[in-house]
Amino acid sequence: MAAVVSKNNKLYNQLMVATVLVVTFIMLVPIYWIASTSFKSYNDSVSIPPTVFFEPEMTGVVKVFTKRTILRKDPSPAKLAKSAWYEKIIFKAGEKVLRASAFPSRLWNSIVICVVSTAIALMMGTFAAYAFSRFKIFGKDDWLFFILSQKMLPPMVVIIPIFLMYRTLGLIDSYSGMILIYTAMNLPFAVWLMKGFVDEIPIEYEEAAMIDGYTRFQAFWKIVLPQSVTGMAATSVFCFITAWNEFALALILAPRNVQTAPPFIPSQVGSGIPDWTAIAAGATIFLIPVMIFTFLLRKHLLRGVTFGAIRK
Amino acid sequence: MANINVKDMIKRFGQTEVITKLNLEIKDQEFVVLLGPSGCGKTTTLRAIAGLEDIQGGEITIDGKAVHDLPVKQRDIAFVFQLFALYPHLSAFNNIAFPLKAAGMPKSDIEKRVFAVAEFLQIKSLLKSMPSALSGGDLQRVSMARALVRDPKALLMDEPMGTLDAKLREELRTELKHLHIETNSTTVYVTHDQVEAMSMGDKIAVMNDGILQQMGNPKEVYDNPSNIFVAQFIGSPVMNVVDCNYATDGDVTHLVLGENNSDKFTLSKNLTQKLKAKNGDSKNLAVGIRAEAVDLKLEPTKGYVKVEVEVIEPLGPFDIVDVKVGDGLVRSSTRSQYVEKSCKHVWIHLNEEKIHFFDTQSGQSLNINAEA
Repeated sequence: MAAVVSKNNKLYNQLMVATVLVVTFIMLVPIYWIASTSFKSYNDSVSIPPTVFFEPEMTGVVKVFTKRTILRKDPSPAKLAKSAWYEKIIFKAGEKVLRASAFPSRLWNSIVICVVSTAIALMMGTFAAYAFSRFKIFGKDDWLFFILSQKMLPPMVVIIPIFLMYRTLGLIDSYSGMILIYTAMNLPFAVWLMKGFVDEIPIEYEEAAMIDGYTRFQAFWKIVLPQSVTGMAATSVFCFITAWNEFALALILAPRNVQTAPPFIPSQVGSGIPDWTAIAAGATIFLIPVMIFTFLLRKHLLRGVTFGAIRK
Repeated sequence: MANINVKDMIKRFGQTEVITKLNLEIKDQEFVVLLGPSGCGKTTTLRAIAGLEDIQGGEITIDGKAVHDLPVKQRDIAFVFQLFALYPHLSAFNNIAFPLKAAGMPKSDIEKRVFAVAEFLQIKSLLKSMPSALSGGDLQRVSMARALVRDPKALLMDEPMGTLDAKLREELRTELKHLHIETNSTTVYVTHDQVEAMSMGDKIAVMNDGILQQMGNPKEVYDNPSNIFVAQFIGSPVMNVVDCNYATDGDVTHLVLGENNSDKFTLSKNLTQKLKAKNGDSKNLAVGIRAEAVDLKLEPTKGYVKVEVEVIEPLGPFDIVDVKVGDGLVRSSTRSQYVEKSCKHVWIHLNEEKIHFFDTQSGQSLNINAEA
């Protein structure tokens, strides 16, 4: 752009950078805190004033992956020599490993349920948004409001009727039940978000494609979809995170085998003294899939990929 | 290539009728321009031919085959959009290849065709670029290539130069005309720019308010406009149209322009008879005369009427001099600098052969000169 940058402009830029740095720092402190707590010893995790510098250890991480019991007597040297590294860590904490915990399977449940429900919500949302954007539909605005209104009641209000319905239908503690409820939860947002993106794609592209000898569906597939990738990426990140973090519905509707990670992690508090290191470790690991998912889609989250070919 | 016929076409948006019983006959290899002000239905007509709008009455045939019920893809026509509508996620090559892929053509053939059309339009160097990297003129050329690449039955263009600047437009106008001469494609071109229409069209169809006003070659439309609308829409400067009266005086006809005017233009006697025959004793009469048919002199001349100079508009190659006749103004074009600023009065004369008379109530031309 301009070759000459005025002093004011420079100062403004520096101020902006400083502001961004401060905000980023404030945002990252809790994440740093939870991540660092997961590597603290129990004593460090509860000390007042809190420790900032500490000797990292894996106790919390091992705990979240294991079921343990209190160690009645110290293990014999022979037994100690035979035990694995994680068992030794737990011995040191005064406990004994009984078996692996359900955490990996709970994470896996979360991943399956969130990925599938996001994919379904995205697909249905895109189709619906295209229809709302392009076709004459009787009572279009009312329909759109109706769709949005599905999000207006908090889940806790409707959870009892849903629970009863699910019990009758046999959907309690099933993948299909969880995928269904998360899809339903995300669909209104998917429709509304995608409608905004599809509205922005000029209709001339599809008309051109139909002139070029394609059907409307082919035009949608080859022209509209590639151009709404940005919107689809944003929508799917949004849906995925919402489903990933959902707690209340998961707590009630999936109490056992298909329990997701959010209700599992606080269940580690158990009775007695809450072990924050294990909870922090669980929470930190819980963050990783969302980070990866968002990181993979980061390129598409940038706007402006499609600008320039139609001049307005 | 093919001929296109539109018969009694009616188009409604809801309750409003936007096109009323439109008839167009477009012959094979003809370049027809649909001309009219914005909102006159010219783009809607074009879109209806393409199949992008459905019609509520009438018939559209391409090569004698009724197509108005066929989906867009079966009509085999090409369309160039005002905003080009090049697919932004595809390179120029893939944009041009897109219609060929729809037909399921083998890859090697597609390449051959795309390169051939690119060569023809001299855009070979652009094939790898994305649309966002192309200039307005190049976007236009690529969209032309996409339209031409599959040899459509007809080429429809919707103000393809509407967004380009004047210089580029002139350049592309020449290119397009050249292109039409070489490909001989049946072309329907929509524009609101009468210069574009005059310079490119084999035929011009002037539309207003959803009604076809006149269709003819540029010379016909310019020299014999069928009504006041066409007369004033075509040509720059705009044709003078002034209410008038006439009276016979001995062996001449006196023509009085406007109200409160004692100046009489002397014209031949048989004009009275012609006007009587056409118009009876109706008082609703207007005279239309182009600026170049208003002759202007600086000294008193026999047969010329003395008038006051109002404004001089220098346009470069010629000047437009607005003179006061009665209450109104009449524009006359003169050679550049002929009338000086200090000039208060000039003498004008109307070239009788180029006078048009209109019925002010219906707006229709009386065709006084057309038959002479």
